[in-house]
Formats: sequence, C-alpha cells, structure tokens
Amino acid sequence: MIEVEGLRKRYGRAVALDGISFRVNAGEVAGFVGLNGAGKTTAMRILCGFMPRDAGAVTVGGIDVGKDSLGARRLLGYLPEGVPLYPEMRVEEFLRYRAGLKGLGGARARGAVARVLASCDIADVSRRIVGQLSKGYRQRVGIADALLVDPPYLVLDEPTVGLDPLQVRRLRDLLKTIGASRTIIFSTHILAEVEVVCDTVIVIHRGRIIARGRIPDLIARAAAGTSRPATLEEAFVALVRDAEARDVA
Amino acid sequence: MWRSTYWVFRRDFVAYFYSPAAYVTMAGFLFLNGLVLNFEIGPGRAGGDVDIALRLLFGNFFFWILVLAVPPLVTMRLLAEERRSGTADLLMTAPVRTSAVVLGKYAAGFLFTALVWSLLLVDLAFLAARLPAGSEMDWGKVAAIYAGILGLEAFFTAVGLWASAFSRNQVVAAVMALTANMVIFLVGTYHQLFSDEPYEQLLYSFVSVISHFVRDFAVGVVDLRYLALYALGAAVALGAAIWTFEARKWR
Repeated sequence: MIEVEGLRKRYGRAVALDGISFRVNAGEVAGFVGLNGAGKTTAMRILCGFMPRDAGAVTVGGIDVGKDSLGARRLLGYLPEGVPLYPEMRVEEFLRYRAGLKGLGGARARGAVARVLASCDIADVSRRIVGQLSKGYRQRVGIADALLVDPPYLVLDEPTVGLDPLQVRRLRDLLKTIGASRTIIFSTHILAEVEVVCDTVIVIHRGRIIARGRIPDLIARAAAGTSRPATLEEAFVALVRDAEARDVA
Repeated sequence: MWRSTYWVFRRDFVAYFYSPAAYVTMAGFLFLNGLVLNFEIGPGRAGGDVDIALRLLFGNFFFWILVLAVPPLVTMRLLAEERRSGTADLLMTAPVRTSAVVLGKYAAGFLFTALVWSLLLVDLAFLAARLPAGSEMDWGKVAAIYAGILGLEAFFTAVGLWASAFSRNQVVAAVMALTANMVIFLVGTYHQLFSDEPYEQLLYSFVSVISHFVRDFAVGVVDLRYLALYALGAAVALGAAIWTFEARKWR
C-alpha cells in the first residue's frame, strides 16, 4: 500500500503541495490527475525519495520514505516525466547498467534484462542506440527500466505524453498487463487513459486533493448536480470548476 | 554501496569515449605537448641534459595550464549533465546512495584524467629515443613527477566534481572549477612572494603546488606530506560535492 498523509511542499513562496493525503491499496492502479502545475510531479518525486518533503508522511509498503529512503526505493519502479535516458547508450547496455545499479548482478541481471525486453516488447531494438529511438520506444525502455527488479510498486509520471494514438494504445495494453500484479500510481492529464487503465482516481488541483475514489463513483458524484457528466473528463472539469469557485469565494 | 559505485564509475568512464569532447581533449593535450617538445625542449635545446629537459617539460607554462584545465574539462559534465538532462531523477530514485554516485563519478573522472596524462609518456618515449649518446632518460624522476601530477589532479578532479554539482550548465561548472584551481595554485605562490615572516613563508611554501613540483617532484623526490595534502583536499571537496548534489539535485 502507498500512503500519503498531510504532505506539504513549497518552492520558495509558492505552495506546490498543501497537505495532501491519499492511499493506494495493494494491487490497485490509481490515476493521479490534474492540470499542468497541479503538483503531480512534485508529489511523485517525494514519493520516490528524490525530493525532501516539508511536512507530512509518505509510506510505501509500510516503509517511511523520509526515514528509509533506500528501503522504499528498493520497492519502487519509477518512470520520470519525459523519460530521461542516456542517449548515447544502447538499450540493452542501458538496462544492464540500471540492473547493476539496482543490485542485480551476473545471471540475475541478464535474466531480468531479457524478461523486461520481452515483456515491454523492445527486444527488436535491444542493440539500438537510445537517442535514435522513437518516443514510443523510449517510453517502453523507461518502463522496462522501472520493471527491472520486478518491484511491487510502480510510479509512472505522464507515461503517455507525446505519443501517437497507436503508441498510446500499445502502452495502455502494457500498463494493463503489468498492472494486474502491481500497485501503480499513474499520473496524466489525459483522462481517457485513466478511464481505461485505472481502478481509482485521485484528482489534484493547485496542490490540494479535490476528489478521490472509484471512477464510476466520481462520475456519479459529479452528475448529482444540475449538469449530467457522462465521462471522467466532464466530471474532472466539473470538479476543477467547483474547486476554483470555492477558491474565489 | 560499492556495487553501485562500480556501475556509476563504469557508465561514466565508458561515456567519455562516446563523446567527441574526450577525443578533442586528448588531441589538444597531445598537440600542446608536442609543440612544447618540438619548440621548447627538443634534445638539442636542452643540450642533451635530461634533468633540464624534464624540468622544462614539467615546468613550462603549458604544463601548468594543462594541470589546471584538464580536470575541469573532464569533470564538468559529470553531475551537471545529470541534472540538466533529468537523468538525476532516474539515478537518484534507484536504491543508491548519493555518496556512491559521487564516488563512482569521481573514480571515472580521475581515471580519465590519468589516461590523458599518460599520453605524455609518448612524448617522453620520443624524447628518450632522441637523447644524444651518453644521456639516458631518468625514469625514476619521471615516476616521481607522475606521482605529483596524479596526486594534484586527484585533488583538482574532486574540486571539478564539486563545481559540477553546483550547476546544470557544464560551462559554468568548468569555469568555476578552473577558477578554484587557479586560486589553489596561486595561494601559496603569491603569499610567499609578499610575506616576510619566516613561519608564514614556511606555511605558504608548504601549500604552494608550484614549489612542490620545482623543489621536489621534478628532482625525483616524492614527499608524502604533499600527497597527503592533496588527498585531504580531495576528501574535503568530495564531501562538499556529496552534500551539494544531495541539496541541489532536484532544483
């Protein structure tokens, strides 16, 4: 289980996270949605132990990220936004390096690399230079890296951004497969993806959680008003408008 | 920790050879030393005296430029590029300590610096082959000089890595490191010139790197106190690099 309680983060005077709390249960795929600048990446970076928090608590599989960051990172696979990779390396070489960094050596590393090359459908580009890959392949190499040690928790930051429809569909299928046995937080602002891939959704706006729960429940809750949203996107827009109206009031 | 240090070292060391910058650095190094050898030192100009030739080769203006400039060129991208390209996210969300990352990068930077300096052995072999009859290359002195060079470059490599932890911009990191190296280089020398107090002169001559080379390494003396001084400087700079990268990696 991933548990976030009262998480706060400021950049100078700007408040990035204003005491957010949420929980993602074991085996759940949660969509973490919000507008650009809502605080998704900041929350995910704190979750993965990359960035310190100002206040609050984050636990991954019962391990406090603030107290035992290395222990929590051993349980996590992370795909950062924009999929930063080393462009000069070959795909297999990159994955071998990452396996070594994550503590796998020798036959275990070779086995793990072969497994993720197959499961992410990138064996055909294993000898290619990362910098020469298409964006879709780069995303899949990034996901392969996140899956190397077969972590029980995955944190994926905007994995579908910039992909063409065919690449999005492939990635969606991949996420469905890997999500069957893992706890995943998947950040995006493409709500159609969340509807297809996720069990639950967490909506963040201006550093605050404005809604969370199962997707049909959120749609139904938003539909309880005068308008009648039929999709998650319409529910999301309604939620954001409500939050902005409350801020103005 | 050592396993991840090894993998960081291995990736960064190999990465030098993917980049044209490494080959440009090595070519520039060889070219400058070739010029020095040809126009300044050549066996004829040194009068066949190996001592004079070695003192010229390891004491000329270009030698010091290279001592000061090679480490910043080698280290400037090591941490700055990780932050600029976003791979710091990838690196620091793996279960690795910041100290392992910094030490791995330091080992890669130092080994590459040592490799660049080893190119000078080509010039020395050339010089040895062309010495007049009766003269012989003093390889013991060469070894002492190399001990000094590698000790000092170990220090400057750590300073360069610290500078690389400060900025996302490689050029800024290189300029910061070069400036710091120049301050370290000049601090003993200038104070020695302007100070009358004997104890101050003693102190400043102890920290003056130019004195270390002229007085000791270049005449074949390896003073371990100087190597310990460089090691201490390197340890302080590495500690500062770990702290700086940890504090600034996400900014």
